Amino acid sequence: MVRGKSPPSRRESTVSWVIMGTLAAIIIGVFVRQSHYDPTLFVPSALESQAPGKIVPRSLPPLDLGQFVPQDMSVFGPLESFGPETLSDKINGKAELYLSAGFSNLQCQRFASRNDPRSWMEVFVYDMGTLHQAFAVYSTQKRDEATPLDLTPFSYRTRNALFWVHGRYYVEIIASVPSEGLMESMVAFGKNFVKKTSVDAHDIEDLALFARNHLEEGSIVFFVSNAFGFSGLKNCFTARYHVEGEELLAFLSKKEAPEEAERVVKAYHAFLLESGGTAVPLSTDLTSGALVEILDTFELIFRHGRYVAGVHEAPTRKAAEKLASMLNGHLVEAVR
Amino acid sequence: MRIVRARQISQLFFFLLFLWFCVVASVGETWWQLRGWPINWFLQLDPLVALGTVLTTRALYAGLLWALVTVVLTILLGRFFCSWACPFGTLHHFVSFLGSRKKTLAKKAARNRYHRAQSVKYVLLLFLLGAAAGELLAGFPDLLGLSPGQSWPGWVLFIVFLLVVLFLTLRKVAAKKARMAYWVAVCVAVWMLLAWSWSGHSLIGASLQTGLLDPIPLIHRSVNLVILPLVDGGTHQLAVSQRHTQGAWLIGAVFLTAVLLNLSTPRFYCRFVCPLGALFGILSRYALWRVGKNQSECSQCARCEALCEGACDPSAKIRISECVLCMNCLDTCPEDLMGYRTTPSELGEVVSPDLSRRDFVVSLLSGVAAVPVTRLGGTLGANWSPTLIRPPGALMEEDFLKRCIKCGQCMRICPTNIIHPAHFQGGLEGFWTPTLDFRVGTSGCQYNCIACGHVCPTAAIRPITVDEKQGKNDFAQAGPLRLGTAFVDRGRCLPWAMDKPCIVCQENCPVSPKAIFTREHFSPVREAPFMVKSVHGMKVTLQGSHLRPGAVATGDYFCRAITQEKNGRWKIQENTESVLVLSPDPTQKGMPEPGNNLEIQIRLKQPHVDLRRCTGCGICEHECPVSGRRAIRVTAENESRSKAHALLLS
Amino acid sequence: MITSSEERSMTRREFLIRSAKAGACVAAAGGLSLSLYDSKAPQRSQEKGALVTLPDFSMPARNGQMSIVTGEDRVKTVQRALKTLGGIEAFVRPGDRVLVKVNAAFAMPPILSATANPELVAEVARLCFKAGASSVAVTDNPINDPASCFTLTGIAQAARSVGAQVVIPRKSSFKPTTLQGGTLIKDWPLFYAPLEAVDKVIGIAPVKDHHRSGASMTMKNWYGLLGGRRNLFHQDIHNIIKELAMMVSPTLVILDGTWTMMTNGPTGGSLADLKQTNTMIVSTDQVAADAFGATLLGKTASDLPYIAKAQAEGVGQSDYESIKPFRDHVG
Repeated sequence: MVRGKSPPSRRESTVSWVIMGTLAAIIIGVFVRQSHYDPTLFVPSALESQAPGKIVPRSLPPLDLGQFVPQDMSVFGPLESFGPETLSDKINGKAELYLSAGFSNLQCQRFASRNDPRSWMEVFVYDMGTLHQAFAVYSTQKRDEATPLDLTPFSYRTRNALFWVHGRYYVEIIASVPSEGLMESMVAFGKNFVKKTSVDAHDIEDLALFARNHLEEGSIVFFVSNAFGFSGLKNCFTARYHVEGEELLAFLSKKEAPEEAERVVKAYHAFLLESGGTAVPLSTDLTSGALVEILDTFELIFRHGRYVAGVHEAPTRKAAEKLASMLNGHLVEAVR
Repeated sequence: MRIVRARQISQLFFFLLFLWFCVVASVGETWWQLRGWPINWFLQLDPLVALGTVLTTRALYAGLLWALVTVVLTILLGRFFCSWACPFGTLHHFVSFLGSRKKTLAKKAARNRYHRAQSVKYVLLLFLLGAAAGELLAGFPDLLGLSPGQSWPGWVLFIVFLLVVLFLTLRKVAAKKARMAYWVAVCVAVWMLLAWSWSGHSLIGASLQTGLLDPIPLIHRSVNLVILPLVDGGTHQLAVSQRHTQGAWLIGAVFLTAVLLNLSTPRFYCRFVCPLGALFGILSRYALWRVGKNQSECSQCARCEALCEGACDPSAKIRISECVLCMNCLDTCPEDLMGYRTTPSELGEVVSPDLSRRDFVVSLLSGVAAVPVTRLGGTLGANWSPTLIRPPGALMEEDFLKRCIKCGQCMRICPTNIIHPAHFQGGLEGFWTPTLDFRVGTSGCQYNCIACGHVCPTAAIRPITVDEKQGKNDFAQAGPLRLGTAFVDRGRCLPWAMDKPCIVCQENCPVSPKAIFTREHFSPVREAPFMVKSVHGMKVTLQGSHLRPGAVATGDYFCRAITQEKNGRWKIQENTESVLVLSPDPTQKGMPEPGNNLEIQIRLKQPHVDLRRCTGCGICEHECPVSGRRAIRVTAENESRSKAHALLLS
Repeated sequence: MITSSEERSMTRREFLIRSAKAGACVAAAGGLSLSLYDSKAPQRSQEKGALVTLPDFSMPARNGQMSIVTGEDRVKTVQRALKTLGGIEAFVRPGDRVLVKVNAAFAMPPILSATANPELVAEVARLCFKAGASSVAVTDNPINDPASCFTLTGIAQAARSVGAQVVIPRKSSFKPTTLQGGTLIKDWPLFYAPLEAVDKVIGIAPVKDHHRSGASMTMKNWYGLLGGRRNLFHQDIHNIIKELAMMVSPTLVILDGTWTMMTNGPTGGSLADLKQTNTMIVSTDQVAADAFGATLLGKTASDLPYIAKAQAEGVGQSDYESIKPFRDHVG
């Protein structure tokens, strides 16, 4: 070109550079994309040898349940394994309960007595990821006629079944017939399981935060989320107390920081008022507390440090306040 | 930075990106192999692929949603894709530049003047879309509840409605509009009549043929199947052995012609042929920004014409549908009269393609009609071709033809190089669609390879899992995917026809348990029976024999006395011209005796195919030592994708 | 170049019109693309199977009848309950082919009451034969492995002991179905093979707590006629139960509340989950049966939304007292 062209206008330059920027973004996008791919497309599936259609998450190597079985029992069915996608294939409608508590994997297998093939048991090992989550599904399902065991801190039996939490595992053994012989084998299985399976944590320290007086033994339940139908109340323990001749439910939840605890207290308070409750003045010395009367019951909520605590659906105001001061007193002691 | 420089960088960028996607399209995890490179990105950006599959399948498959980006940008900005992103366009641009050097300004301007034949590309586009839309158009009365067999009030109401519209339109409006309304009504009536008579017609169908001329599949096909194998044939960096493409010459010739035509007319393909460009031309009709003059008078120096890529008459009434936004006119105008602005050119503009209504109808209807015409041959029915073996996971033929754009990605990715562009095995419609050839390439279809379905941009080949291919786990009931079945040609097979031992196919069968099994057969050798002269220990001396020493000592030869069959066979261990040394065998009863007529037999293992197990992977065909026309060949009978081709009841 | 204001406004007008048209095109392209978007590849393509629909197995003359008999012994209570409704002969005619749809969802022992009681199944099958049934088939499409479900629940042995056959689902047993007026059951695989050639259908289900739906009784029992990835329906459990009840019009339903699974349903697992409630319900109205069954769980019909939904569709009557159930006690 022979002509002397004027330099490009500002607008032309800007547009040009914007386009260059777009090209750079494309190249970055392409590079990011190329590192995300499914390596199974290049090698035959590594999981081929497993049971039909069930994929075990990579969290933990599969357990060989056979190793825990006492001498007098033999394998009665194949080892089955279920992930979050397939859990309902095994337990149908109850899957939701486990999934909402952070379920990662279930392995189950049947074993039968060598002496009497009609006596068989099925072992369900739920890998819940953490001790707290295992405790959550354990405690929410706990049967009323439970007989405590000393297998682990959280274990009980009923006439035909055995339930316990061991670290991240929640284990159920269900027998086909209620028999003492079979129960012995089940307990033996449990002891082997606890002995041979190593886990990080055994006990939940937060349970000690509940005052022991008037506490109903083994009544503590843990909700991973959505306690009392309120979505803001997560990781919440509840415990049953008998105070003033009434049955009361106390709750306790640890938060990251006092500010967050304060926020949860306010949110729950607002939730109660929104749901038709009326605020009632407190007569005790709980400075951070609030009392709400709702549907003829009393709901008390307070905060100590990073803990949110309270009493749920107390029949009388007096009982609620008494239990709350007790909880608070113990909490102050325990946290110190 | 000048906008023209930005355009050149963009063109180079997309061209190199395209080449890179071609280079990395081989199975593997190193950085220059497939990994997660989005090698289909250009095909996904191509709205003709998206539109074509939407017309045929009424669904927009996954990645094809990218086309929406191109469509929206084109509606807003104009035909930017052609001279900013299209790799084929860039190639034409460059070759045209080479061809135009040392030409005078006037000559250049003359070459870039608008030509009436530029409307041909719209005709091609409509023809191809017509072929894709046939089924949709014929099925439309169904949607309205107007097809025969449904209650008649629908029909009556619809016709009354049409008449009312017609009447109202005719009453008040100008003659021109009245004519148009009349014309619309006639068209609708004709269409409905045709649709009515055609609905339920077995030959009416949707055939996706856009890929024949669509520039993105075309350049993918050409680079992947012709250029890369040629280049890599010398370097062997991408493939260990030479890659082959059946009928590469035609793909190469089309490509070369398209490229070389630029020397006579710049961007020949883009201006006259490209159906994608035509689609962009239609989409750019309401573009918010457009190139134009900001003053009607100018010195007519024709510098802009000389550099115009789209041949859109920038100095006169600019043709928006032809303008490819190369921005050369903006840059070159000595008076700075050209701009890219929201206002139309001062000299006015032509917004629509140069296509008459008659051209429109004729091209569209020819496309619709072409499909039943090609299908009259019956290739989708009784006259289906068993030599057309589709890759694993391919849809049933009718659905396959609705999706395949002949881009050749599956052929490029196939690690064993067995997927090739078909010629006329699948009829005219199946031209350049993938078919398997087990002679070319390095093996058969690999037992645990599922690469082709995962690179198919339109899911004509479904992205299957290894489990599905092998019929394991969830797919145990469905069984393995079968591409066809291997048939032994007993007239060519060595153990069947030539009395030569061979179990190569059985040994190579990858299925477990093997789909090829053998049955033992003893066949007398051609030489007449020999009389036994004497027997010493295991040595049998024959009378008048002229055996080549060692010829029957391979372990496959046996002998037996003709009159004493019950004594069984003796294995031959060693032989000279007239002496056989038999292999001691405690289970045999009596040795041949002098005076016996001794027959020498060869033990053959004749291959048979178990129909239930054979997946049609073709490894047997590839390995068969009869290297010309193989003695075991896979044909598409019993392929999983079609019940009509099944050989088994269950 | 100077343009007059008129020209400028013309230009602006033209531009606005053009923008509107471009905008409309963008909207059309976007809308069409998104509505046609299909992230999944087509499935293994095959000729599409014809849809099937279930015939009505109920006996119109006997609609809205219910009998509630208390007692510990299931054999006695079910006999008594049937008798008050006119005997099984009123429902099963000589030569009828009868299908008994049991709940055999889990491979669990019978004492846990997570599945239909084998003695009860055997007794019903026996009565059908006694009334002249030419064949009795017992079936379910269980959650767990079918063969072990039928065996470990004791149902297979019980059924065979009285000459009934057990039909275990295979892939070919399923045919797609669409429920008229339904929104969930659309082109969905139905366990059709056992239903194909029968004249009467009897549902037998235990009363169970259900984590997702509140309770699993006779209507939820039809869940076992679905195939495919049916657990998708857990997202809309009440409507699927309603649609199941609309889809299946049984001859009779038998709701076994002899032992009720009060907690931790539908699998239970512990005898501690069970409570002896000693009640047997036989009804031609599945809604009424479930509404009464809810009381055994300490609930009311209003606690179970699917009951009201089914009633609104005309499946049955949730106010079970209004159909005047027969009541009796044996034992």
